[in-house]
Amino acid sequence: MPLLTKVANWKSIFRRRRIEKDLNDELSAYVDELTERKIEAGLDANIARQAALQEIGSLEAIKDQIRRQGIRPSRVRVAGAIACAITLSFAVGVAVSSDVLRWIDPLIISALPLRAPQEPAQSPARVPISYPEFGPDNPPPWVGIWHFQIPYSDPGTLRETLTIRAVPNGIQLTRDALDLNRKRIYEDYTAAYVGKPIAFGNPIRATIKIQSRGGDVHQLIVVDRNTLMFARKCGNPECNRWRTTDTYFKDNTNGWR
Amino acid sequence: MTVGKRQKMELLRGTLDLLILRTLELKPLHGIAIADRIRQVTKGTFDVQAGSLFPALHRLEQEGGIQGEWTTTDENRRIKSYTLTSEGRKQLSAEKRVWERIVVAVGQVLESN
Repeated sequence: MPLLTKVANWKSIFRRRRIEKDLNDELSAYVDELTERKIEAGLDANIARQAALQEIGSLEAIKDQIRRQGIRPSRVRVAGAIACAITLSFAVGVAVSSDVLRWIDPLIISALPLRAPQEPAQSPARVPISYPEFGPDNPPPWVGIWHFQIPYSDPGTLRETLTIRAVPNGIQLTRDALDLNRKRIYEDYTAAYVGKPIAFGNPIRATIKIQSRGGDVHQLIVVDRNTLMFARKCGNPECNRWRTTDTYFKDNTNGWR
Repeated sequence: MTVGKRQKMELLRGTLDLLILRTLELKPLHGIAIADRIRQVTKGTFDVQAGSLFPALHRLEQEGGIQGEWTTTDENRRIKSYTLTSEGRKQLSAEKRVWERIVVAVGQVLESN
């Protein structure tokens, strides 16, 4: 067997193994997440896992379906051609840029605006999220900028509007709604705390705890000017985690979806 | 702030791709978050199950419409997050147009005497 064919076969085997591993990991993560949700809803861990697996159905059937879709040979050929082009571009790019940088370096790059340029830079993803405490003496810099209005429909109300405003000492949320008897429900929440570091994998600007009349604890999370999230404290006393329920994104027309 | 239970509906063939592409247009998301988002936006009408979701995601990834990337969550869990590619944006525009034509055509049939 020619050497090139052997190499191609080995590459194909490794690639297939990697795809299988990725597929297993992806589906396992889905099962774990579903299991956690069921634990939070009050199920015992073992029963929760069984229920999650039952809900998903046969994992092997899902994997088979994905495997049957296969990889299109044309895409592999295209991918190979792209890889060659990228490698060539890199080679040329490195050669050219090292030559150019040799000239530019003393003029611009030597004076890096870092506190300690000799120390290795930390990856931003590994730096823990931390925000200063905001208060009357230390208002958040975005006061006056934020004003969200989310029309929200709920089966218990005819129409509900959530308004979020930035106020000098935090964030204010008002909920205005009509119940089925057309009685107006108006509730006003002021931020319980703002700027606490709670990690959902996003740089969170502010959070507002909302204790609804039914006793559920919700949390409104202002991720940024274009993203809002609602989170719910899980019902199981053993669990002390917040779980995001709804996410709203601002669209091009300044509406929320 | 709960979503009411509505009658769940079967997705039309090919519609799931459109919903996934549209969902990823706003933000990269992982599998279960995509299903959550579709359920949230449709107020529970469409509940996409793993058996439909993952084959669709992998098919769209192979076609180049979306791109999967492995990341690690705060809980140290490895998840695959999907992003809409420029090819996917084109596909989304095309599928939106097809969908609009379907809606108009079905409407015409329903309203005809």
